Amino acid sequence: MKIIKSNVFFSLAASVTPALLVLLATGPEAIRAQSRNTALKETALENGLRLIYEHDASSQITVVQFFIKGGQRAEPTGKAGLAYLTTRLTLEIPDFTQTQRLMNQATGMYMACQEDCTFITLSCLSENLEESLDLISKIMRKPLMTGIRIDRITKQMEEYLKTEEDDSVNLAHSASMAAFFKDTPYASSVFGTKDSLKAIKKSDITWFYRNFFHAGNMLVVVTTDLEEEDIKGLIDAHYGPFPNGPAPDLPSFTSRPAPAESIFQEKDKEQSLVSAAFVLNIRTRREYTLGFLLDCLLGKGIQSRLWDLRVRQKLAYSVQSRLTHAEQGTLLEAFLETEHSKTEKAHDALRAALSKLYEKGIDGKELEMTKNYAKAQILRDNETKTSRSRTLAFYETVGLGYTFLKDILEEIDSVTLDEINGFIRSGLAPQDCLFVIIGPAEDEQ
Amino acid sequence: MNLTRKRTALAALLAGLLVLTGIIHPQADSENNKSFVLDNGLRVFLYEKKTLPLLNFVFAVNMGSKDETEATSGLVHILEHYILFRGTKQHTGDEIARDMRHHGAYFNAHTGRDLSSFEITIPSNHADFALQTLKEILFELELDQEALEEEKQIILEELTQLQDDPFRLATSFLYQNLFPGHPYQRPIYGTREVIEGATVEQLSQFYRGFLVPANSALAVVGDFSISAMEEKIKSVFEGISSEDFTPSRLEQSGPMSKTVEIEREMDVQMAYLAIGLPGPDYNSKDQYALDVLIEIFARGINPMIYHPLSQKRIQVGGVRMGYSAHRYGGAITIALAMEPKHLKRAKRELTKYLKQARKLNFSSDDVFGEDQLYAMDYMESAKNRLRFRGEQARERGLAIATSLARYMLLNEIADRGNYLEHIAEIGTTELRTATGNYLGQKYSVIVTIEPTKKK
Repeated sequence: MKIIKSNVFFSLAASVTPALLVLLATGPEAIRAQSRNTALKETALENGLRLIYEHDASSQITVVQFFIKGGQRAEPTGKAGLAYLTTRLTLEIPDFTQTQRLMNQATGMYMACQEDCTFITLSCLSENLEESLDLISKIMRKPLMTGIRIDRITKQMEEYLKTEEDDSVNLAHSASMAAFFKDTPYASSVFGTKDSLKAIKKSDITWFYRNFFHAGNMLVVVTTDLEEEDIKGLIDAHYGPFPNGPAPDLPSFTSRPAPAESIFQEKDKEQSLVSAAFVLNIRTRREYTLGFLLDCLLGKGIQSRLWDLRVRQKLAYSVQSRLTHAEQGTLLEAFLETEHSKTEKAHDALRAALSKLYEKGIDGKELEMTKNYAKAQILRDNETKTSRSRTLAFYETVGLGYTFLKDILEEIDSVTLDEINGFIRSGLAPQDCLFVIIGPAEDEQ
Repeated sequence: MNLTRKRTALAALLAGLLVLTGIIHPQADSENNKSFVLDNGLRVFLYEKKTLPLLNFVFAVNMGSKDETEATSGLVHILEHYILFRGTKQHTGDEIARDMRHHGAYFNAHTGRDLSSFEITIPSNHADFALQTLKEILFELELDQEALEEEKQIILEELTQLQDDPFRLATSFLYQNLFPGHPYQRPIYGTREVIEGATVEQLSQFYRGFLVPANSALAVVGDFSISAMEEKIKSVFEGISSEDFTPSRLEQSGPMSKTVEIEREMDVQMAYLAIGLPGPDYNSKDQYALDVLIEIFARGINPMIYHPLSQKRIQVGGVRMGYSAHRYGGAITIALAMEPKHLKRAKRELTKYLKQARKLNFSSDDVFGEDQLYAMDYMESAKNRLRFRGEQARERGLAIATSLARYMLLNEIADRGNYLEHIAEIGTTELRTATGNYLGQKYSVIVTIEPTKKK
């Protein structure tokens, strides 16, 4: 549904969990009835901080998402990585005592940077929420921005960048973003570049923090088994003292047309990655719904359009699409990884699959099938407190509104055949497609 | 097979290995869960979880790479692919896949060392469809050489893909050397030679030998009523016979007799280090101490495994450590990425640290006097995190179903008791013993992957 420009590397706790299969059942009382989610509630503190509350009694944990508007889009020219670096610094634990307290509470902290915002996820046993908020809010209010810490995190970011570039899918994504959004803040990795990181001064970090980390520019989403009044009280007590201020203006820009030439990046690998990317025009809920449907139609799951490249044409094990939605432009990528002697064939097959979709569109049966898959996928994607609260905040931050999670299933149902085919015609024109190939040089194929 | 390759860099590094031991108590029926065995031997666990209108089905078969030989290495993996995609006596693979999508289903399958599992997640009004489809693809398979040849080509692409992913490749090397002389050492994906030469007759032998209800378990988690689901399952699966089935049994995997070091080069910018150690099996009581140790060393806000590296100013881009419990043995794996210039020192420091780890203080109770004020209580922190992770795991229907299915086929302990009580009973003595026995072992597998040297 959305690609989080990842910081899977930074995890102060086990927030980046693998499939956790610990099931702690011991008897009849351990597996108990769980109620369906109740309605969402919204409120605002006196300092302007907006709080979205969702009650969910399915587990005794609380997830608090802090979304800070800005992200990459707020980074001045030449300072790519600033949003990530600043947010990361707001989570530096100052001393032994606080480290020990956070350890004892088993509080998890996670952060990531996206095109239009950064977010911090705090998750803990609900019984520890008050103490966790007490600690985290103090750290966030008075972050440690010392030279040593800045240097250490900057070095980490350089390593994350390299690790990111060791992966062909990430590399192709970065190349597509850089081409379509050249000379805009979306063009770089969230970890910046070696040069941009070198250019960031402490004063830039302070500027970013002062301008973006205030109540008027933040959103808090809490999904919990605790009661609404308790949560309101806790957020107010710990984030009420955050300074107020207006949400800063962010630059507007548009994407560039697709370059005429494909991009090739040499990597001495066994397989080549062949990717086709488009920028879609998505501003409204309706357009997002159409984009989400198109993503599912194209490359999500068995019997998607790209599936044919795997099962009949036997070009790849892995065929996929992904949608990266940001306020100033949405990138749709379709890609496959193929043994490098088949690169050209895979390129032609991907081009043909996209052209066929563009020229002939889809029929009612395929739309129905895609809708069913997409609706179930929304449920699957938002099963946990962490994923659901992140989606709520993401929708809100990119201007779709958090209530969209409640409405999107109906929105999907109401899409007509003409609409989706019109959207395909407007978004997948062959001349708007950028091909990126990552793999061995041609003479090695 | 995984339809969507995880692309979350380090998060993906040991995705297959980091599965913690599933612990459940299926005897304890209540109004929300029930376990039973059909007359044909199929074990079933039902767990109502009504948070979302979804159903999660996991059908696991006691058939994995452990059941292969050198000559058949990879056939279980092929069979898993074939069952999932290639059709039945009544429907083609395409027809089934279209039907699945039409019903909004996610379906997938996995081959493991012990088990093969087939999973469906589907909106809750389609229970009948999901059960009928499971039955059809699993028990009414039509094997055809032409379709097999097609699927082989996709599997060979999967094998090639593995070669390009430093963490997956390193993990694969770890496993191939952690269990010397045991079937677990064979690669789950199989060998290229066996896959290329596989025949329908070979697959058929596995299919007939293992795909029987008495060798399988079905877990259903989600939005349903127990009595209605029980009735549906009985009507769909009860008629399938399990006659002539004899379960097989293997020896436990033995200890390593030497350290194995594997070095590779790849077109990457970072260097990758992976260390593997034999661990306790699924039914060992040592798993509780291991679970705590993994939390202490690799999770939370202050993982101990960073200490020897940071003391030597070696910065690493996230450490992943996991413990994977199999029926006949276990594996402890550690993997990390770093600047290539740090690789040799990181390997040296980390291996030395693990060998001496039993001397570490895990709790403030390990020190005396004023020192107690400044001692981190890693043990209590880890126990709390396990509580947290247990709560978190309750939210994931498919993960719960997978855990239950594994439990039904792998568990051999009559009464496992309460997991958190076992965890609570772990003290520093148990931790030191487990650290010495498992992390401080004399022999290990070490894999390093460095950037290709410039010519």
